[in-house]
Amino acid sequence: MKQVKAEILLNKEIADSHFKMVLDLGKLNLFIKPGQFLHIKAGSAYDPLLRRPISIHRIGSNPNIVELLYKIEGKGTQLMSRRSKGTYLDIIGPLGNGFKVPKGQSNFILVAGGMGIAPLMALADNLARFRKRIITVILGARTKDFIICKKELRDIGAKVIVVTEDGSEGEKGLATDVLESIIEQFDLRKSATALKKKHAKGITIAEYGPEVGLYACGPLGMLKAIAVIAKYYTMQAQASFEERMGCGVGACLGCVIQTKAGYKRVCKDGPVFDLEEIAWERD
Amino acid sequence: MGKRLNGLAVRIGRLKFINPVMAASGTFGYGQEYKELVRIDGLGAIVTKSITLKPLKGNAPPRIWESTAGMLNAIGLQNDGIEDFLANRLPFLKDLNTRIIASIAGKCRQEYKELAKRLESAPVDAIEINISCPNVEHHGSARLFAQDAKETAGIVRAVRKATKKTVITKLSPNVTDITEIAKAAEGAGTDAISLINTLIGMDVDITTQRPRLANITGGLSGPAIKPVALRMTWEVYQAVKIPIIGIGGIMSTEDALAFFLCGARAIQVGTANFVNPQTITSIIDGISNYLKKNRLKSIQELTGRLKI
Ligand SMILES: Cc1cc2nc3c(=O)[nH]c(=O)nc-3n(C[C@H](O)[C@H](O)[C@H](O)COP(=O)(O)OP(=O)(O)OC[C@H]3O[C@@H](n4cnc5c(N)ncnc54)[C@H](O)[C@@H]3O)c2cc1C
Ligand SMILES: Cc1cc2nc3c(=O)[nH]c(=O)nc-3n(C[C@H](O)[C@H](O)[C@H](O)COP(=O)(O)O)c2cc1C
Ligand code: FES
Repeated sequence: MKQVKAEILLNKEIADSHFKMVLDLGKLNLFIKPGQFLHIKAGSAYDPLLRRPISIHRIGSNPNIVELLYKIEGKGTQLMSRRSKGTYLDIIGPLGNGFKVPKGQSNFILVAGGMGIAPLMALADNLARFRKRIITVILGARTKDFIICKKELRDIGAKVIVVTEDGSEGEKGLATDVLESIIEQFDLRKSATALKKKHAKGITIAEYGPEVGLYACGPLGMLKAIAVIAKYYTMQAQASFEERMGCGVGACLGCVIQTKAGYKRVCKDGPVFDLEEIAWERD
Repeated sequence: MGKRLNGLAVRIGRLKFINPVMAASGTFGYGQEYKELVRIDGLGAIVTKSITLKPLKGNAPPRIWESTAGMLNAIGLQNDGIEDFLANRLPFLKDLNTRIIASIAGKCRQEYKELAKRLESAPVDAIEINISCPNVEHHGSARLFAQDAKETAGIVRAVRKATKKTVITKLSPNVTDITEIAKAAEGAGTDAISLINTLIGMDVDITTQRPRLANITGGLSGPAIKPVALRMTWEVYQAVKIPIIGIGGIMSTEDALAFFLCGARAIQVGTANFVNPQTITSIIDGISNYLKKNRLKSIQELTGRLKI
């Protein structure tokens, strides 16, 4: 973790209110894990006062060059979008735990709801560096204009399934709607230990071994639905969570979420949590 | 102790500080959280997150909300209790070349006394009594101990009896007359007063028609509260003889200097640590430069020098 003035190499609108920003973090030799984020001071005035957390979207072959993907939500991201190339952005990072890829996992299903693709792209990039890994990405968005990274994902060899709420591209519905059918038809054949099991209601379901992993980022409702699906299919599932942040480094206890083991800090213990850790009922 | 900067040392109680700029309670964790970002050895002091006897799980989220030039927080004193502090947090702190001030919070006089006793043989330099946290429910007539002069005096006396360490009492701004509480604390034997804690506030999401914080209300901090904090520093300076540590919305050297002019002997930086972790370090350097430029021998020459 360092605090640096990062040079903005690119800051470009790629879809309505969606921006891609490329930053040069300087010669820091930082080790960045997919799922980690930067805590960014968007402007120098006192409004907005606090930093804004933005995930690391892609890590360059030179690891000091990182890409961010962000959407204008309010004052902070608005200010970021107005920053021009060649100026410097005050950042703290990399922060948070990042995704962990358990040994022996070879089949990866990534579920991105809207901006959820931001940290998942970095994960996909990383996974694709190793051969013999099956990567499937479900890209869910409101409408086709906000389907981001489809080409980039295909370029690295991932299978991409597009879902839009208005049906303007791919399947119509929510990312979680297709997740189950994908689990059923696609991965079963390729999974080493998946077995068909009779469910109590007479339905046959698949049960997966440790080589299959689910990774998600998106709205809370989506993560909750994925937690249910993951439990049903006995799949390991991790997701990146969001909460309002103060310090970003674990000091203020402002960003906690409720887990089965008590409150945990999204900025330090997260933002990635095992879905089975989360105590949903106490929302 | 560390790099000696001319004219920056101050004395509070029996303690000497290398400089008068400290990290405020609840905004710097237990130091460790910031060790990769800040040269901690150069700080005047670190005030720990408030410590209670038993672990407290804190309030439900969301716990923070940003307001114009400030923020609301309702952490609810989440901490792992005194045993955890002594066993797991203090080992890192005690090896630092900076003063360690343990902030304590209790539900009754007895708890404050007990906390002070447990800390007596521990390697902390001073105790800051947090009687002003707005987020925990208390018994008695006032909502906070800090709103009742008698309760304040009772707690200070209990802690004073239990410890030989320097005792600082931290006041709440959520009172009618802060000088009355300050005088009660002074009378009960506190070595110094720190002020202010956060101002109780709230904000509302008009779309959902719900409060922004799960706790409904929270404490306001940051630049927005500086004028209130300065006013209270000035009022208390005229009312008591013991040293005052000014807190509230300090973001820069200029902000800090204003507190000294209003009567502060030292200052604490809170919310600014979140915005820029280098704030304390840059204020220390800034004060040093100011002294040189204005040919002042010591920062203490500035305390209370407001011209009226
Ligand atoms: C670990 C982490 C990683 C993130 N990564 C990205 C990313 O890669 N790309 C991206 O576009 N966004 C990301 N976000 C969300 C981003 O931080 C917020 O959108 C941003 O802080 C909004 O700031 P603002 O000043 O523009 O909006 P504000 O004016 O502060 O808020 C506008 C709206 O956004 C909501 N909001 C603000 N902050 C958050 C938050 N942290 N979580 C949930 N809702 C929030 C508010 O409730 C409000 O409705 C991430 C958040 C976290 C916690
Ligand atoms: C997130 C947060 C947590 C805090 N926790 C404590 C605490 O545990 N004990 C305490 O005495 N003050 C606590 N405070 C109050 C600060 O120490 C300080 O008095 C207040 O924030 C005003 O200073 P500032 O404007 O520089 O932040 C907290 C403040 C914030 C923002
Ligand atoms: S933002 Fe301060 S602890 Fe997470």
